[in-house]
Amino acid sequence: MELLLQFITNTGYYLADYRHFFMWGVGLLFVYLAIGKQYEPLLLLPIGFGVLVGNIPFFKGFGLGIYEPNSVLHYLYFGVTSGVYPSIVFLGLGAMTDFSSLLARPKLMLLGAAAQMGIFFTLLSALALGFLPKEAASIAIIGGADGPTSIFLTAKLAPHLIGPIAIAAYSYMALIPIIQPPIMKLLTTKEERLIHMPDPRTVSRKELLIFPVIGLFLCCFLAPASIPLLGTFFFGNLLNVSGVVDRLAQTARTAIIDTATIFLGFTVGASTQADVFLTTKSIGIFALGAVAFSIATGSGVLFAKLMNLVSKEKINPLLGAAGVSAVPGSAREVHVMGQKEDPSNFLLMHAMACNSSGVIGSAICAGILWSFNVG
Amino acid sequence: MYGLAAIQQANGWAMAGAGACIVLIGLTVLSFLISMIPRLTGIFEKKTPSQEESAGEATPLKPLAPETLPDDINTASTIYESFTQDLGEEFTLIDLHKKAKDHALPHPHLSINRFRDAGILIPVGDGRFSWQPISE
Repeated sequence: MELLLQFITNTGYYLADYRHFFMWGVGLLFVYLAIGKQYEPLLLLPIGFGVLVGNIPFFKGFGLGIYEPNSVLHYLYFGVTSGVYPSIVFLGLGAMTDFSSLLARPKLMLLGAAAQMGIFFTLLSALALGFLPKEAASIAIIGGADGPTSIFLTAKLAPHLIGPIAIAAYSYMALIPIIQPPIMKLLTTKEERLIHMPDPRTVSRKELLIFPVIGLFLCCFLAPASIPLLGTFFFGNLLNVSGVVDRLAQTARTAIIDTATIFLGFTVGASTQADVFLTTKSIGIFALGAVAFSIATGSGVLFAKLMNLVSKEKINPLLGAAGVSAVPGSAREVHVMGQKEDPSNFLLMHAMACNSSGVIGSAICAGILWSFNVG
Repeated sequence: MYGLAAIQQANGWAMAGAGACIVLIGLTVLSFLISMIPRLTGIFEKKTPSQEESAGEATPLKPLAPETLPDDINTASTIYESFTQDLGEEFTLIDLHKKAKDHALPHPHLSINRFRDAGILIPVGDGRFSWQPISE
């Protein structure tokens, strides 16, 4: 009888409390959004199920939890805390990215830079709310709208915040169709939204080959702390454009990135154990994340309008919203909004140029923030 | 510590200002360098004119594709026809699309749809199509 009672007290049913129920609700919501609404399913499904797994109550000391040394989940989580998974994801992203539209119209790269202003605004806001500098930098990077970059920087600066920051970053990425359109509409006039972009010129293979090398040298010399992200990113891109290692490029953009995404999403989800995740800091992180994302979108759009004031060739300011690095969600939203105004307006290729520039921009920002907070 | 004092204490203004400037300048320089790549590659290509000349003699001149198609659908179809002469009288839409992509004609899907809707591109059976002569 005593043995039975001991068994019962060790079961999840006995150990569960209201916090676990709350987190299961979050996990199930993510799973629902992924399957039912198809919002970023590649991310939300592994994260959502990870949240469910991570919040099954267990008897501490069995070496089961993600934060317990020598547990299986702890080993899998090492890829997150060490920054290995984000680096591998960037390799695959590089192999997937087509820079030809950016190379055809290089000034769109400035929109990718402008959209990073959300990061620095949020840095100030987080500091003002009492977060420590390393925590503030980790929260600020949510404004880059790049999950792997957010996880990478947080793992380096404030590992105890990986769960809430990753969840906030991916949640806002999934909510792009809800967050971005009102901001885009608010900051642009109908005439501006109707601006057509001329077709990009054809980009030669030589340009595509030279770009990753120049990009690597410039960005990584500027912010060496971004080497783990941008080094693999540009390497993946060179694999893709070289045309001589199709097998490697194919593997990088399929099996490798998929494997890393599965483990990254699942372990980040599992890291949201109720006792670690449900804190007042998490609420602050979610609020600041929303601010970061909105400011990033707004600053991109406003910078595009500013460029129109000084440039002869007008660009559609909606493209500024694609300067955040949420690939391809924000580019899709820009295209959809452009099409709503004028079905013959095709902005997708141009928006993808801003998007890919945003990926580079947010990785540089991560490197800069890491350098500022070393020590 | 909270508010402006906390920002001051953590050197936040300097971090945000310097960070924003670095990323803006960095991407502006990268953007400038990218815009220089075609010129750079152009210089290297000019250094081997004999190769280009001999290649030019060996292959017949291809018509140049315009960057944008004219609004007038008949004129646009004429441009398409000039690029698809070697396909013969009848061709599949896949071949036509491939040809348009090879010549970097803008929006091939959209244009082909417009030609079909306007009755300029007509089906001749077995999944093949041909150009309808334009009536004056």
